[in-house]
Amino acid sequence: MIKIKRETRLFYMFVGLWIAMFVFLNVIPMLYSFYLSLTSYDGLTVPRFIAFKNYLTLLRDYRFIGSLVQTVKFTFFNIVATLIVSLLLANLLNKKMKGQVFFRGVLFLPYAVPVIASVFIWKTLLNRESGLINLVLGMINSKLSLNLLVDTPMVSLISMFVWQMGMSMVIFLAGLQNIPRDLIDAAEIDGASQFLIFRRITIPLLSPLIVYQVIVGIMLSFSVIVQPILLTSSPGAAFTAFLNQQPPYQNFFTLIFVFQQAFTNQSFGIAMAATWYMILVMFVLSLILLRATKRFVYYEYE
Amino acid sequence: MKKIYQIMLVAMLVVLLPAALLFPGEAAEKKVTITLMRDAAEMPDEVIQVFEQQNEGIKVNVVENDPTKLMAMIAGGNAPDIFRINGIGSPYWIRKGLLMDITASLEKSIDMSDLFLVNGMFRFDGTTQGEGPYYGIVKDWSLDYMYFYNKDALEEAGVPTPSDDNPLTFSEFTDMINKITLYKDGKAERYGFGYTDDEFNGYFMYLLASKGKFLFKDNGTKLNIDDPDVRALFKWWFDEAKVHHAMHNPLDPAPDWDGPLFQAGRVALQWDGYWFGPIINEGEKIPPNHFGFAPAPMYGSKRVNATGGGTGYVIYKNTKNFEAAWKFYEYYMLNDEAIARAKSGWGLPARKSMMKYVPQETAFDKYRLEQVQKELPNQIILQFTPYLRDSTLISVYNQQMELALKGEVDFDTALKNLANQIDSMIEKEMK
Amino acid sequence: MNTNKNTMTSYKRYKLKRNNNKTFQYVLIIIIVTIFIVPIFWLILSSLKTQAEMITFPPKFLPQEPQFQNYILAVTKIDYLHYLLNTIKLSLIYTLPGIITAAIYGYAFARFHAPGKKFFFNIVIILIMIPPVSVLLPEYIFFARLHLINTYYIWLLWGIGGNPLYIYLFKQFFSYFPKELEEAALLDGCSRFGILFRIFMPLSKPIVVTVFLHSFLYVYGDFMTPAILLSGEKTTLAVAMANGYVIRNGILLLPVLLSGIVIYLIPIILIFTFGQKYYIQGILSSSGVKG
Repeated sequence: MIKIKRETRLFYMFVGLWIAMFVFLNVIPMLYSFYLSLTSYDGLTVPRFIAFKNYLTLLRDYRFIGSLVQTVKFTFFNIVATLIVSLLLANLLNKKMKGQVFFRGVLFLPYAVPVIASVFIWKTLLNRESGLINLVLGMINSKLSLNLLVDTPMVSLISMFVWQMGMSMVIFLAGLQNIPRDLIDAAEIDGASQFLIFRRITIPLLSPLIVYQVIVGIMLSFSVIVQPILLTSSPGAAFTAFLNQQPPYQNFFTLIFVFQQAFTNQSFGIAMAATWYMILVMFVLSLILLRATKRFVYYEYE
Repeated sequence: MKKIYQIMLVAMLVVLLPAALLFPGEAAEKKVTITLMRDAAEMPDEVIQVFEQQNEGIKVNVVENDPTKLMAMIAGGNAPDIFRINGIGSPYWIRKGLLMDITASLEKSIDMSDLFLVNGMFRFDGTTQGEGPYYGIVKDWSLDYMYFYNKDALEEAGVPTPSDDNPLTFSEFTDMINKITLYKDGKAERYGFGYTDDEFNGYFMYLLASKGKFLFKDNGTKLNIDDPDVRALFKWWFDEAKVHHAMHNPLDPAPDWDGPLFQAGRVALQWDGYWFGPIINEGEKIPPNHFGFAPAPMYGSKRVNATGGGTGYVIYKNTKNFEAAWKFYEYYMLNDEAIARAKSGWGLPARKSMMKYVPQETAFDKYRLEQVQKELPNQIILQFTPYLRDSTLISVYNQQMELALKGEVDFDTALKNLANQIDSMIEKEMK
Repeated sequence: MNTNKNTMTSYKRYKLKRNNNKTFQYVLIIIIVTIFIVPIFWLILSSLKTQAEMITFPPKFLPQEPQFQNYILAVTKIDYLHYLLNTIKLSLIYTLPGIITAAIYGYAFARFHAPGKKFFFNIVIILIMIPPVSVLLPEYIFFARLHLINTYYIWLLWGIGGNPLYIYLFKQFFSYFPKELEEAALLDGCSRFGILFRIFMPLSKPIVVTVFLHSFLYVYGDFMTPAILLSGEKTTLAVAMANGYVIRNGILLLPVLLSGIVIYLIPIILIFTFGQKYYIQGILSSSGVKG
């Protein structure tokens, strides 16, 4: 009995600081944000309590609902594209070959390119009149040109994220290397094709990693705000007025809506309510995911 | 190692090392500190350093100009003492009681008749912009609806050059820009005209003023969307983008802002006024004498011109250091720095007495100054609603019209949505 | 020895197929790697052009004359070194306490049994799912009331509070250590704290390096947070670059910005080329990233 008690005490000694900071840095701002969501606050005068009116207003705001739809759409395609590419690349790079370390480095590097840099790089690549892609297309045939940023904004955006999939690839590499060699050898001896091995052995053994990456991916995708605006913005206003710029509606994500409501429309209350809706949606998605894959995920031990 | 040393080591790493990085030695000083939100390119650090040297007891804490940051600072209770806004949107700030009335201080410093009319953009008496006390002045200004045009582009398109003295009518102007736009194979090779993204609602306002009309009605509480002329202007702007590809817009985004494009000949006409001159002077590809500078086109029968932005600095109403802030204000807005700005040729000075510093060395500079002076008598003050910030209308326009541009909704629906959104935002403000 | 002709041929065929496969895969990798390098290559090329060259129509591939002065301008127009030092300072303020606290908290979650542990760990997991950007606004107002805006204390607090992702990583990693390790140490009179720092940590080099690099990279590249919470002299390089390469009236000098970005990427390239061994091997060998 005494042993357990001591262990409990130790645990809370170690973790106590974390709990304190968690309350201070997370709980309090979140409570404040929730409180603000129940008011009509314009950032300048005293907040006025209006209970759940903001939440109701948002449900009838077609722009807000639209932004949620687009955000979920983007999240889905972004995660699918990134994970597929990174998994395939990890698989390719898992074999010993000349320059393996170099290739891994190059494919990983874009991950480290910071947000503002990658946006500008992508702008100069995809621009219709002066971008590299159209430059090359133009060399083939002068009538050939793609207005990628305008016609396919979500694809343009996702391609940038796929370029930056380095971290994902490395995580999969780790997982792949943890697959016991004997399993694969045994399967090969039994005549299994690479495909079959991939499907029946690799993926199930990687499933916890996949789930983990999807959950983190949901969080990261919902946090995207700078890139969609800057990718199609007019550089004239540079960064200072970037919230006045409007991304194409396909890339109009909920977090952008939140910031616009707060800073352009002076409605902090609505902004906070929208944020809470967003968090709710993220949770629901993650929960659905966890429930749905519980059967399929193979944990080595728990 | 003994346990106690371990704990000490850890404590050091966790707290002291980073803390050491945090304290580069901040001496307590008996100075008054004012917070200034400035645009780094406009107001380089040297300008501030000179001020601090001249005023020993004042320290200036600098914050980068950022509208988002500004709102956050005000919401957080630590608003800057001096910050930068566009005169056109000043009624909003004045109505909210955020700006200090500086009329008395101005009167003590200078002779009020020395101020150009344009400073009225910072005057508001509750109903009319341009009347009432002064809440700020412009740092420099320009008559924004005159335009520079690329003579070669006009020649290429077979368009006669507009007169230096008589403005074109609006439809003549429209014809001209459509003819000089080059849109081939789905690529925008040359834009018909360039404009300032943040301020394009100014065009509507000045054009309407030529017919004696306004963008907002009922004391600024509603968008004047039922007026056919107002609708026509929105449609015009929309068609110029969608049908003629005449200017950069969401369907034809430009890779850079209009300046370099204009210098490279990819924008044939810049509808931005006098202040664009130095861009032409600094452009290496095309010499200045290939450009003309024409008076503002007329929508109605009255010949008008105005300033669309009117960037200036204001003092926060609840500042705790008014004297110090005013000292800086005088330095930057009224005295030495104002002269330096006038000399740079980027804009006209706020004070008439400083006009003699405006550059007139080159033929081009002389020419554009002459053109401006011809237009001065036609200057008016644009009227914006006190219930919205100036950037809001543009933002809402972008939000609503993009769908119409892409064909997702038709123009009239989008316009109705725009008007509804604006009107409901104003209503919320009025509560 | 198998002299059956058929078997030998089929084995040869198998080997041939394997070799073809291998070559094909190798070629595929080369193509993909080339595609991935293209944006960086275009970045460098563009940074050597003049602003006009970047937007002329029809577009040009190479600059007329490489504008190396863009790079000089990039480091002189803003006080590059100063902001770089700011960024490094800020990264360390966040990272160093962050690693230690994540290890402490992760250790506790991994090796102790206590009522309420599962509940709190679930909170850690939930915290991973909240994007920091969404609480940025209330946090701004919160920190403003505490007069912490435009100080680096905020990052220190975040470091002490621990990043849930790192806590999770440490917890997973530590949970794989055999119990015997601890029991032996306890018998020798070592405290739990001592176990953590004298036994577990030295064995966790890969995780530590991973967390260090990940966290450092995060602060180095972070734009939104310092943009809102810091200003002027104290801000990071990312924000300074975003605001700084402008001339009058907010006009952005695009090629200079691109040059600045190239320079900005150099430390990252260096760290990851040399640290790659640790970093990638770190994640590879830490089975802690699993499940």
